[in-house]
Amino acid sequence: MGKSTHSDRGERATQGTLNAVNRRQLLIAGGALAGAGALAACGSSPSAKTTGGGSASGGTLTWGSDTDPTHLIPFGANATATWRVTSLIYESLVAWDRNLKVVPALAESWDAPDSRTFVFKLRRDVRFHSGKPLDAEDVKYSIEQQKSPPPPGADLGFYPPIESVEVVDRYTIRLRMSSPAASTLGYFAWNRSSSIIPAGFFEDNNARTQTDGTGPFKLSEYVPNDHVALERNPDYRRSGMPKVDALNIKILADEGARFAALRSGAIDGATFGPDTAQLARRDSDLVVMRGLTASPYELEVQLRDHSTPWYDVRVRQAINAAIDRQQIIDKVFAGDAVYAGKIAPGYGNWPIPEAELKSNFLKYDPDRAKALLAEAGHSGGISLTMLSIADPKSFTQVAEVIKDQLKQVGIEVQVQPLELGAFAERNGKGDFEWMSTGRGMRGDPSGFLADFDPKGSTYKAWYGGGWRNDELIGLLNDGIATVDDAKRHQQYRRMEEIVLTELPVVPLVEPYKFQILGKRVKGMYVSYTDADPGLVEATVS
Amino acid sequence: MGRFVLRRLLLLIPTLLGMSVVIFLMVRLIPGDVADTLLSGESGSDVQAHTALRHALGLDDPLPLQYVKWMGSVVHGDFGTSLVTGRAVAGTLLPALEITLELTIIASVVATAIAIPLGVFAARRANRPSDLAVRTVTLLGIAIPDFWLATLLLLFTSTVFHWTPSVIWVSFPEDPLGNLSQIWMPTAILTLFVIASTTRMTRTTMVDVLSQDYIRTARAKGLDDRRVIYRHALRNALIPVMTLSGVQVATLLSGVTILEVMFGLPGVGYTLTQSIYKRDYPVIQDAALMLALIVILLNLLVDVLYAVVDPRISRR
Repeated sequence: MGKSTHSDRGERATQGTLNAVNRRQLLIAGGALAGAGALAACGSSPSAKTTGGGSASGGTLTWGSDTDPTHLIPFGANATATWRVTSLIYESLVAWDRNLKVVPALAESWDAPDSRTFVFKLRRDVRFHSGKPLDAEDVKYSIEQQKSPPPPGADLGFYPPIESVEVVDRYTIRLRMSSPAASTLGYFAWNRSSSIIPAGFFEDNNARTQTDGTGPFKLSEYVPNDHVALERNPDYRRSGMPKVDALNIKILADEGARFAALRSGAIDGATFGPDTAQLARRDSDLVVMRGLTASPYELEVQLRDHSTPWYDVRVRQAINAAIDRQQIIDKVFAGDAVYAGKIAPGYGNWPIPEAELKSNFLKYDPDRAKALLAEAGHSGGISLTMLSIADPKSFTQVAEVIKDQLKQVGIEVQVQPLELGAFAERNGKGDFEWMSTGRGMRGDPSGFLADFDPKGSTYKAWYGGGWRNDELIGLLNDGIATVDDAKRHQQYRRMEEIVLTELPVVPLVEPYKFQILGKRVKGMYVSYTDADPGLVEATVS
Repeated sequence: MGRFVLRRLLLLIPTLLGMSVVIFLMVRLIPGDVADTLLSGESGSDVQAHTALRHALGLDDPLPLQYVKWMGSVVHGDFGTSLVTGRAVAGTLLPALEITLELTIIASVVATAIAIPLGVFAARRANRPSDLAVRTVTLLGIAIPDFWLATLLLLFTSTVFHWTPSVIWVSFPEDPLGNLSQIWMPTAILTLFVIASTTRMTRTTMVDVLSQDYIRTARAKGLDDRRVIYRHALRNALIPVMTLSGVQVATLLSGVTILEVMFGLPGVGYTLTQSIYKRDYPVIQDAALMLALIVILLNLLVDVLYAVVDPRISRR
């Protein structure tokens, strides 16, 4: 259950009263207010159902999800399914708009007086769902907790080099960095590891089941493996948002069952695979939305071991040239995918454009592949084992298509699908030869290249003692310290070129994400971040 | 009779202990643990964080100690704490058990009430068209996989009637009608499966019994047909049917797991599969032990019923 006090329920009742449109409702609501204690005991607010503040449209939206969030910890242990819920409850200092531009959130403005200092001015009108007003002490507490979140959370490797967090005054916070870090704003905007919670939150609450954020929705109930019930936060800083009074997130693991529930109107929308999207396009009662989301598919290569054939860059280049990405796009994703470089396609103007990937870096050229293999002394062929994630199936399907393609140039691939937990263990230990996997969103372009930083744990697991590229390492350090935008673009462009030539990883494709809506939903959109911020703006009729 | 039941109940203890060891070890044989699944942060959490988390969750204790801790929590009745949600496992599993039991009990009772008369009906008309019809339909019932039937039913009702069960779970006491509208579809599918096998078994054994000498004798005595069928024939025919039902409980529980996932019902089976993906050891262990207990108890019940149906058994 959400942390909810009597005072905040009282306030909600008042809010409902003020927005009531006619005298009769006013009188009824007035009566209800007199019994506010009784209302609080019921734990529901009848007035909110019929009125709602600002331009809100009201109503309840039910959204289908394929995975249970498991817990609602704001940061440190968040699976994507957790974050899709917590990103509706919690906020950070800044946020992204739909085009990944950093916009104000809990901070109304910010400034970087020098390359190692950030100053954030907080909004003065923000309250947590528990009713407590937000101030700089909460921000200090939150950022310090983010550095090493309490178990079962842990630092997931995204924390910027923040040395100290200083409270300047009640609404001003200053961050001192141990080294210049251009990734800081992106870290906060992403809100995946950077949510702001009230001071003392972890000590006073069971963070796995209780929440207290400043976001558009507050938790009313979480029934594991069944649903999460959220209700509109009437004090939300964006006036008129969210538009619906209540949002239910229903867990329906089976895609067929989810689609049936959508057709019958039991849910209002959900994310689906490309096959279901094809089916839904023929149904005039449904709206199919398509959008890119940060979910590039790639092949990871283990390069610690000097004795493997692919430790020779020419073999990796041969494999890269022998892969026909268009065929992957057509066969596995029914045409609904794009070529992916190392920085995920659609990530602002950072990635190398698709046309250039197609004609140059990721060009399909089996003759060149054979020539490169011969040059490396492997014309007799090589064999390798490729692990893949078993569910969703697409990772194994991609691996199977590649297996066929590599066979044409004399490379034998054995595909070994693993269930996610087993895959995660092998992945973390670097216990693999090749892997068909997918990657996710990052707060800053530097995040897409973090695997190649020798200081990181991924580098140690996959490349430690083996492959390294000093130009890339130099650029990684420069890129994170550079503030000038044009110069940063040049640096990341060069880094991507190095990766696409040296191929310590073989990027493949990025599929479109499909969300299908019933006709009564308006204003929803597919978000690039892979969460669903569109649910804040969506309306139901 | 009382001693018979008591002896069987006492035998439960070593059986369950053995089960618990098997479950405990099997869970730990799956590669990866909860620290891997919680921290599969893509840029990779560092090794220290991983070690610290394993320590905080007690996963670095020696296996015997982990086992003793688990058994301790089972004996205390709280069944330990979920590694992922931090909730007491009992608090998660008991509501889930209600759902699973509701589905299986309704399915078993309804199915038995239909299957036994249907089996008797078919046996009395052995090899006539009506018997053939019953056998064909029940054969289909066994052959059709439940997940396939569930998908088709859902697609059918959502396309033709624009209706599927409402998705947010409501328990029977909260809203009886809403609850029934949610569970009728999965229950019906389960019921079909049980009807199919029970009917076929009843028919076969009835046909066998009806050809016995004592049935001929009973008929020759001039007993009316009802008495011959239900008092003499059915009682004897039921013993193999009951044996089958006992065995079927395990099948039924695996069927209910699939249907819970398909229909999004947060029962024991669904909870168990989700916990396996997350490597949430205490929940997996308790759920598996609970299912094992149900199977054992129902088989015990079947044995007791044997004695009721055939008094010779308890005298032995």
